[in-house]
Amino acid sequence: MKFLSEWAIPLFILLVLAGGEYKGVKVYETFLQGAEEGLKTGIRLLPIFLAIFGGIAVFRASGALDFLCRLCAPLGNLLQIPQEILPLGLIKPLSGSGTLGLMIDLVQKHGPDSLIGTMAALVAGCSETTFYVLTVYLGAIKINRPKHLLLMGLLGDLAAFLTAVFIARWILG
Amino acid sequence: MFAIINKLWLALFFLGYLVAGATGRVEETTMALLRSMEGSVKFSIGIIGFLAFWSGILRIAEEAGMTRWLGRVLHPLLARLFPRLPKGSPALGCITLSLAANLLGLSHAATPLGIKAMYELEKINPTPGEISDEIAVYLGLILGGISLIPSTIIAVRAQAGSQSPSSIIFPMFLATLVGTGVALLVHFIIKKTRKAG
Repeated sequence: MKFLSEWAIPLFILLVLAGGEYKGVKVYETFLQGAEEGLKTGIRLLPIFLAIFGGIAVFRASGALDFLCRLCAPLGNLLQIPQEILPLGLIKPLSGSGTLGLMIDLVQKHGPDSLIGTMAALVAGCSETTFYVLTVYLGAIKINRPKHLLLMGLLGDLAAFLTAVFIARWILG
Repeated sequence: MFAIINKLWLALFFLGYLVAGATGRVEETTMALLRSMEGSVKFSIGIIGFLAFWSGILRIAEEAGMTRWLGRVLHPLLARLFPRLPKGSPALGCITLSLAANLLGLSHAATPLGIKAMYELEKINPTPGEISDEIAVYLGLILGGISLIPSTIIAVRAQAGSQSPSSIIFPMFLATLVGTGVALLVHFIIKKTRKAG
């Protein structure tokens, strides 16, 4: 598992560079064009971070988050989910940026290689934001009734969440 | 559905200051809010470099025709999930491309591609304005979020000083696979029971 993970990124980069060179793509110029676009995406993310980090800072520093965690703790204990991770699972289907903000906070507070940090990263990435996807994708073609798709998305989220928690425990013992 | 996110954001502030007022932590809470502004900018700057580099690499992949190649490789698998779509249909092409973008962790490119796929699926929808089988299966795949390179999360881990930021790639792939499988299973079970009923 470690080997696969370690080599995924370098192999991908080398493969793309070799493929580009082979197909006669001007790799350097093309890279610069793409990077400029990525820069714009990054700048567009700043307002989202401001909104979410601000809201979460208030919610956390005031003690409201601790309160919410204590409310949810019995359910988490039952399933052996650490109380820090539970809010992440609750906010995940609602808000992608909220999940990202909370995850970053946990990773920085507990350390990226700790059990909580690893679990937070896994939970944050283990599925798409159900409400966002359904709103945007169905809204685009003007379908108003999501029928059973909300249930489908939420059960998928739950399964991915529990799997992520289990895998993190399994890797880090 | 956006209303829910609006309310949630509002609740963070109002519930936060409500608890802060009740426990006498107003000053601390405001300090944390002010610090978060500086933190947001610092974090954005950290992540911009990563996003820009990654977009550059992917632009090369696109120009070299590697995304189209990935589409052809994934085609046999998709034909099984969308049996009613004819081979070489534009819907199938769009689905493949948007899934490929998701696999490579390109969520910002994935959304426009995904919406294009939705338009194509709606064009051949036997019940326009209602969810078809194909739309349900496609959204199941998107919601599952199968990802080979979760670039944002790797960037976060790297920035926080992880010993091996990318070591979560394979575990995360497994978790997304389970989530996607369960989502599709839910769809097929509901479809079966509806037909039986």
